[in-house]
Amino acid sequence: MAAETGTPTTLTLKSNDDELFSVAESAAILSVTIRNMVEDGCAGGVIPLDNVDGKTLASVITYMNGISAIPADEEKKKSYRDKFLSDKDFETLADMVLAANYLNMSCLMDAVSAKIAQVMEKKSVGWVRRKFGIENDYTPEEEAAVKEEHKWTFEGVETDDDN
Amino acid sequence: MYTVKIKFEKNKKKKARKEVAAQLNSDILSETLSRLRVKDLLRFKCVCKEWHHLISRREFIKLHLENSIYRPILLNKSSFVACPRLFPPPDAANYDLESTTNFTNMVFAGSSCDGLVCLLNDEHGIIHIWNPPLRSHACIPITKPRGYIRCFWFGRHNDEYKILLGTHNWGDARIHLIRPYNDDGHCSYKSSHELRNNYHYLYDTIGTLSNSNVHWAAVSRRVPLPPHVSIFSYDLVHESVGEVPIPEHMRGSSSLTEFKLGETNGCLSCLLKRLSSTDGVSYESELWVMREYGVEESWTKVGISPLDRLYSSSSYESSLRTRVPQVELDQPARIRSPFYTKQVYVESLVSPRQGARCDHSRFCCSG
Repeated sequence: MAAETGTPTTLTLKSNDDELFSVAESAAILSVTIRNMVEDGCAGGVIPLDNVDGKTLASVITYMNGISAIPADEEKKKSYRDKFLSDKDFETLADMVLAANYLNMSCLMDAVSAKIAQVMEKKSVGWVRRKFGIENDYTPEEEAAVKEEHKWTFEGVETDDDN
Repeated sequence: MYTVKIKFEKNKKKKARKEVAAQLNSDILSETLSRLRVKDLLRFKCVCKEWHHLISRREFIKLHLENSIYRPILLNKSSFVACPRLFPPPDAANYDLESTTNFTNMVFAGSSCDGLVCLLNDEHGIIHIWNPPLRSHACIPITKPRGYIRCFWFGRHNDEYKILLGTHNWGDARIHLIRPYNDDGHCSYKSSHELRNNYHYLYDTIGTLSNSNVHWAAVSRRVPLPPHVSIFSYDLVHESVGEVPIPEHMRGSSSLTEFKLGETNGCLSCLLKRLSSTDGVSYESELWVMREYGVEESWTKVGISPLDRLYSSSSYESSLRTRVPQVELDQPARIRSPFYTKQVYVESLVSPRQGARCDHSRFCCSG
């Protein structure tokens, strides 16, 4: 269990679709959930992460490795986060925000939340319903009334058919 | 065979992922939505009843305000003061201008807090509280105080919005406290305190909040004596007027041209601008910080700048405290703060009609 002195400890994480990942302990403990496991001495074998799938976990580990390689420089960390999230689509971001929440990684959580908000800017109500899988539970009259109340907020909205 | 399997897996995942977005619980959803601008949020009230309820909640309005602080809109310092035609803020060309026509009469002063802009219409004795992106506006009639209005402050203290008005009437100087959102729903126009020292001229009409006191710098000019600066304060806890001690050498001389109050690292600070003692032509600015509130000896010079156009804003939002560059208190530093010259506006969902109280959602969350 205990690693020999000098060599960095490696943890094995298992996604909910049974993929295994090796990650340096120093990077993995960015997740408070994993850090607690390590501190409680129950990180010896394989750590099962029941709420995270393999694709998302791979992404999160890339982030863990990337951000922990940057020394304490908030500017550089911020630009790494921006770059890391720049090419992610909405679905990936949604998966990541859930993973970040489950793994208790506040810096990733903040960055992903901000990125999702940025993606949602100027989007139509229909786009949001589709992406979030939300069913419209307003009656047509109710919806018209709410819309009427904030009519000007529908100006300059992106067209509905984009993805 | 292998590739087929991968393909199948992918399709399955895509379907599952769609539900992931729906899995976002209200905490995660609040965290995400609180990063949005007001216009988007108001539109997304239409998404479903649950979102309408969430966006209308008091806790959410607070969280949104906290996150708004990290994306301030910088305005030229005087945008809110005496220039109502500059409404709305330059960054917000789409804000409705209709309501601003009310402001073209004489506006004495204005400042903003928590996304609420407070303007005083001196002529008619009306206080306007306006949330530009929310397009919501409240008029509060007040009993017009006697005399000239000389100083002003609008802000939040102990979770209550308050307005201070300073008047000057034939040597009688008073501070009036107005609580626009009183418990009974009516504006209260409360105490009036006589100032011990007459103030003759104010460096800045908008007060500076620090340590539960609102401060103004005033100067008396009794020719042929050199100008004499004092900082008077209004204690929001005890509702009384006082004076902040400053050392004699800061009080000024004929070379002093500016004396601006601000808050630096949570301490009351002031920016002095005076003619250089070496050449008598250029200007020097000094930043002084009162490290221990109310203690005259604790005033420390922390910064010095040769720039001649350096001003402090006495009216940046209290929330800006975190944004003011941290000056190294133990080392003299060059002042390079862009924020010191700007007034800051942050967007919020706070209703001008009810202060921090929430707009009740008509659509209660059934879940």
